[in-house]
Amino acid sequence: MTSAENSKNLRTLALDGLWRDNPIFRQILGICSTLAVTNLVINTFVMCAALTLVTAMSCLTVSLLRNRTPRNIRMMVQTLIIGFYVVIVDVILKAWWPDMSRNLGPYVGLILTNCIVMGRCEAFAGSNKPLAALWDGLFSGLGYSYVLLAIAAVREMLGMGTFLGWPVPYFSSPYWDKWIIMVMPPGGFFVLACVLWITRSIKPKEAKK
Amino acid sequence: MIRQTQSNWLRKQPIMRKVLLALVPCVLGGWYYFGIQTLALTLFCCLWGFFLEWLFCRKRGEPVSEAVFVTAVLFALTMPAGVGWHVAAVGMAFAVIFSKEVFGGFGRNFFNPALAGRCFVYICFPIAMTGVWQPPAEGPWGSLTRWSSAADEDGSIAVTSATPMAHKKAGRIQFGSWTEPALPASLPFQIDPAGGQIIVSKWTMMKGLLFGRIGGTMGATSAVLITLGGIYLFVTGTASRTIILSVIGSYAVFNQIFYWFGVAPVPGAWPAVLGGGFLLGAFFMSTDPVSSPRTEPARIIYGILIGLASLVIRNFSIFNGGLMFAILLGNMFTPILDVAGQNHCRWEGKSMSQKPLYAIGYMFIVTAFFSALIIGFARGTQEQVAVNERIAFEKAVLRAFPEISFTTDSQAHQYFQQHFELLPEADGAWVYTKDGIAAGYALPIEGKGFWAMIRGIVGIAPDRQTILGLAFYEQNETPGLGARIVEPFFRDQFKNLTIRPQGLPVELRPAGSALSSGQVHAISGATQTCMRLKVLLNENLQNWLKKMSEKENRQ
Amino acid sequence: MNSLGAEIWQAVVVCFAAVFTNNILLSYFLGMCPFTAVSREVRTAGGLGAAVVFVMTFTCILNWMAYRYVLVPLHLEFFRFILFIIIIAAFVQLVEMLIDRFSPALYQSLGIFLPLITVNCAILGASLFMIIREYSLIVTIGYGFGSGVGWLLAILAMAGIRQRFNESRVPEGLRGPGITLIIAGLMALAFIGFTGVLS
Repeated sequence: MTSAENSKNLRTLALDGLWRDNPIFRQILGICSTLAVTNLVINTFVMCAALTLVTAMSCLTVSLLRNRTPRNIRMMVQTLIIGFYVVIVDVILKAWWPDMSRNLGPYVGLILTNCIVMGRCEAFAGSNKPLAALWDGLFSGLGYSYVLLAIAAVREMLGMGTFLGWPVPYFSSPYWDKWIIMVMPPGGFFVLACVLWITRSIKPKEAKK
Repeated sequence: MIRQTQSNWLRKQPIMRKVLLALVPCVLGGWYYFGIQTLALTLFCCLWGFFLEWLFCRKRGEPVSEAVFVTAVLFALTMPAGVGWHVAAVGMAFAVIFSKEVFGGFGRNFFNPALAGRCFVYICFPIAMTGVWQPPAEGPWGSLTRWSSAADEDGSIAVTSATPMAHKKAGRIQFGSWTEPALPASLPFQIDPAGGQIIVSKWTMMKGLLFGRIGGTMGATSAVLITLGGIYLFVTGTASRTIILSVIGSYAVFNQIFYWFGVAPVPGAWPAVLGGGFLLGAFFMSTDPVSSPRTEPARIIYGILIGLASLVIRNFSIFNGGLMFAILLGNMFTPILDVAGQNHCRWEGKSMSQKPLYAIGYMFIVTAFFSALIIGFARGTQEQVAVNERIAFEKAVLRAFPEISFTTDSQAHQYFQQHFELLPEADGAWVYTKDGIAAGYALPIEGKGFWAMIRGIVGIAPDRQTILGLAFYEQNETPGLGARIVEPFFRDQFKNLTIRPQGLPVELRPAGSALSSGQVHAISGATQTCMRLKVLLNENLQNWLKKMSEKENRQ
Repeated sequence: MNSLGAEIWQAVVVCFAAVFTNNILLSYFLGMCPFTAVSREVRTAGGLGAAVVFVMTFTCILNWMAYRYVLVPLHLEFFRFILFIIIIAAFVQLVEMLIDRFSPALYQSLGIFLPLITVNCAILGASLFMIIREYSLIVTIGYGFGSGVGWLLAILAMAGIRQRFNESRVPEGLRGPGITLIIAGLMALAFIGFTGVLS
């Protein structure tokens, strides 16, 4: 593989993760573990950072081990690898950011069953070179993160009138009757549905699975 | 693309016209009781709903269905008088777009749009929807010529914070016999929420509910007016009779049974059925032909489900609007009830028909069997749990006194052992002794939070006039919202807080408002948690303070 | 009241709370992937839901014991994510094999859904919640069972709706997962009514 080809590949991979194959609005994967914490931007940010890190590193590790892993137990090995990184993230949060760790509750651990991580490891990292796998995992995670951050920003602003805890002009003033429902579960479903509606309307041909 | 002829704009629907006709008494009643604003809001909802629906229908090349007016009128009738128009606009938008048009327009929705819209704003704007009620007008002409019934001559606005049904639920209205006491002759509009209690005769209550001289939503105050329309629907067969009978019947029966068993806030059959707009929902909303079941057996079960769920929600949940949630739940299970009702689940031919049921039953039995085995097999970890809880409790006690500092668990435990004692004269509070003198009381408090129990400690000065601090050792509130009660910014407000001698010992005010002594700011966005916290804190405090002062007086 | 009786009562309360007030799908968003993917037909949804009830109850029990008797004594609590998922995967595999061997009919209606379950985050989520909330074993059984039943109820209602439903008139961008999310949102709205009923 020449270097020119390689770089083009990387660009395609990045674009795939960010838009064409976006985990959320194209594949509808992995929303479980994070949607619940999207009522605050800061929580979402930490969750997404953790998820991106875990995805990228797991993809790298799976790819490095791809030629030594027997095929029939590869799922088990992948789970172990992902679990390893999830534990690391959890321990770091517990040790240095205990409040955040308590806020997120069990959701950090649930990255383990997030379909994106498993999906990227199984579909791409298991049969590609380490660098490409890392790149793919990173951009899948980023593609996931920016959508969820957008959802969180909408929910926090409408529901609490703040962004990252800072009051937003107008939305934090008495003129804005706060939409309490936005920080409650139904709000999460509706905002995500709206995101799907908008993004899938842009390229309706591709949306059909 | 704009169509030319009138009929292409609007699809004629005779059934919907009958429903609209049946709603006329309620609208006129709303006009009489709450003024011209009722008509204005209804009209606004109709126009706004029509416009939104037209946007979607135009895309599909269809005329707008008349059902949207039924939705709009029903929605407007369930708004409290004087509600902000932005609330109505958001609610109608949600009703038309998210519970109807996204499913493909009229006849394709699964949830009653008016109710979905109302539920949405009910949760979204709790203060606007449940915090302010206007008084209904009196006299032969009511407020037919006025914009609103609430504005007095001097322009001040008379409002109250709860409806009669809410007062009843909270125990502020108690029943006498049918005729006694003779006064008050009509339901009082305002009752002091802090400990006020009024005894009325049952006849007074019933009169209020029947004729609508009570605070409430615009169209749902008078049971007589609703029933007029309801009977029309029933007789003409416009609405399913099975559903009407099943909903009202099961609700009345369940209520009466619970009432006989003495379950606390259940008011008995007639106040429940006549009150709080139950009839409006039962006649007009639960019978929506699109979102209710189509088979007869399913309709009966649907009605019972709604009756039971609204009983549970109205009496035991933190929300008063039980019926609307119950109907949404009913809507949610409508298709599956129909599947069961028609008994045409396609389980791949006859011989397989028993198998899935068998599998599920088998699974339940296996689960029960092994669970029983395991319970018998392993019990013996209580000790460790108890130790953990004990430490959390002790740490909370210490945190309730901001002057005490500690770093490790064992340090906390030691300090607690040395300085705190549970003395009988302190009535359940721990006595804090420092350098041989009493330095305060640590009163454990507990009560229902938004999601689960909240348990904590209030530190109280020895003279019982001041709160020294507040700490929690158990709560499971919404992360980032209610759960912020444990954060210093909220708890610090209780440092050296004077206990109010009159009314509630501690008052929570909306964030940002001015405070006087004994008041603290609630957390914005966590209204429910704060409301609950206020109740449990004050109940615990009041009880304890009362007991202590009684004890003192005896000595 | 003796402590065992009180605990069983608490288990019953927690069980009902897990079905209605704290529904694992509608208020914690767990198990969304299979919920959106496998809710087109009542029959399959029922099968999957029943399998979830079964697996969730037992993995909660197993994980509780593993946590209390292995991880806590060894001070390896942080290791629980990995141990839990291994236990879940192993349990699912074992049950699948047993059912396949001994009851082909049951395998047809339940067993085929078992592989889907390992990656259902509701299962792992229930185990993690029960640890965080420090439930006792008996209460854990109630919680695991209730969470499973709550999930089953939600997916059954959703499948009933979608089976009757013709998507041809839904706006294009919303077809499939989008409309499913909106229905789920409306369900969550209805379930909020139960807030505060049980605690």
